[in-house]
Amino acid sequence: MTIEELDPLSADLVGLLRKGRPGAEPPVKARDAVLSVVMAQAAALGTAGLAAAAAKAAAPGPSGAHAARAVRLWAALKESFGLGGILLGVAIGAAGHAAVVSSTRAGSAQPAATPTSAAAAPQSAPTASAPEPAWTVVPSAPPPAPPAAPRTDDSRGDRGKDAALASERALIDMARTAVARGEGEAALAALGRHEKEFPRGRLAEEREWLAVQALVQTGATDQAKQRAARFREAYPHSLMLAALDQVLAPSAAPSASAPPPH
Amino acid sequence: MKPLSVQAAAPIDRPLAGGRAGSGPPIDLVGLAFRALFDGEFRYVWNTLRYLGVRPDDVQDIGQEVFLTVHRLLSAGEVPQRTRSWLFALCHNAASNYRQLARHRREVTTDQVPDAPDSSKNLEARLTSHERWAQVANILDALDFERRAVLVSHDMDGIPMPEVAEALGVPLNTAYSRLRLARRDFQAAARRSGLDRGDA
Repeated sequence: MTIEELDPLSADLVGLLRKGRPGAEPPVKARDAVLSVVMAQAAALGTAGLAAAAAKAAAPGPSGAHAARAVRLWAALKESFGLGGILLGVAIGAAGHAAVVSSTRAGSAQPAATPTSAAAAPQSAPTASAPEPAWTVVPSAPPPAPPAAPRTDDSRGDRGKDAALASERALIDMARTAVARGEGEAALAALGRHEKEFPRGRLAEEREWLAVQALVQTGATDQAKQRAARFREAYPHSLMLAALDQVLAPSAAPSASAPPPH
Repeated sequence: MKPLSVQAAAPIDRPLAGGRAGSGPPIDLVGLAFRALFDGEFRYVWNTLRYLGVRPDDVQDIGQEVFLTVHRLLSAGEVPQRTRSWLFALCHNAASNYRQLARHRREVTTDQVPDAPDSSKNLEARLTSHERWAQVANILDALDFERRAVLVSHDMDGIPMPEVAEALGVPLNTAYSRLRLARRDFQAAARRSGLDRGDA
């Protein structure tokens, strides 16, 4: 049986279900209460938990497979993000992203979200906002493509593939830098070029992920949501999904649980 | 508690775990991952529990249970890759246990009042949507729990069916069969109650 063989619900009901319960924001008090209970219990169990994790990591045998998988995961993250410092947080979840966004928006009126429990986020934030090589990103006139950029990523031979990947990476790097600086428009210009030249490129997943962030930065929330929905469809196993929710959540603005800025 | 799907999680990445020579203080990966999940998904967990029949008065306790489990699993070295279906599995387990414990109680998930005050100006439209949703909740309550779970995860939350099946620990065909029956029951009840205006 496949989904197509099922009788669909009427459009009216689908709309109701998809929209969910109206006014369905959980009470902030309940949210904070749950968080504090979990953190308190976690702190109480902290030592035991760390010991167990360490034992697991040190265990011989089956952990070899785990280690191999971990290395692949790590490699994938580095491949996708280059700048390890920024992405440690983003890759696992979104706390790091919050720090990146807040640091890039530090000049705006928006108060910086202060990560509460995540010790690493403050460390990654400076990396994110660290001076980049002198990119000049001009939204209306994106830089020309690197010479002889293949138009698709299925060029014959390794050299062609390498060149295509390098071209892809140049555009993605440009977009990433722009996003890190809060320059959503510039990021979108670079991403638009990537999409045109490499619709199915090897970095398409990251392109889409960056595009959602860039759209959020430009205030095009609806478009960001649509693009995020397509991202979910296209990359249901993406490591970025948790971070995606964070980017789109209203709590991307300072949330009630974040301590007030001092 | 049913075992969680192993495929939905990967071990914590040791090389990421920080604390390597000279790289500064170790990074609290578990704390990062938990906080990201909590911030991003609290609303999802809360609403999913409600949709799965947890009463308004109990949803905080059950949500807490879910997030304690999340923290425990992360501490044990799991990192969810498919966050929603992983969380859905946890919510389903928690709601299922809750039902068994609370079987003697009459379940009411109908909204009398919204959980959070809503500053919408369009009171009339809001009432209507609340009334309509109250009917939806009644119909969901009347569905078989396992059918309801598939309807909630797939038709409401958009989790792909293979992931739904994996989260529930059932064969794909079983999940499809439940979805078919859930839709049939839901549609029929909606017609009876006048909720479905028949503009399919």
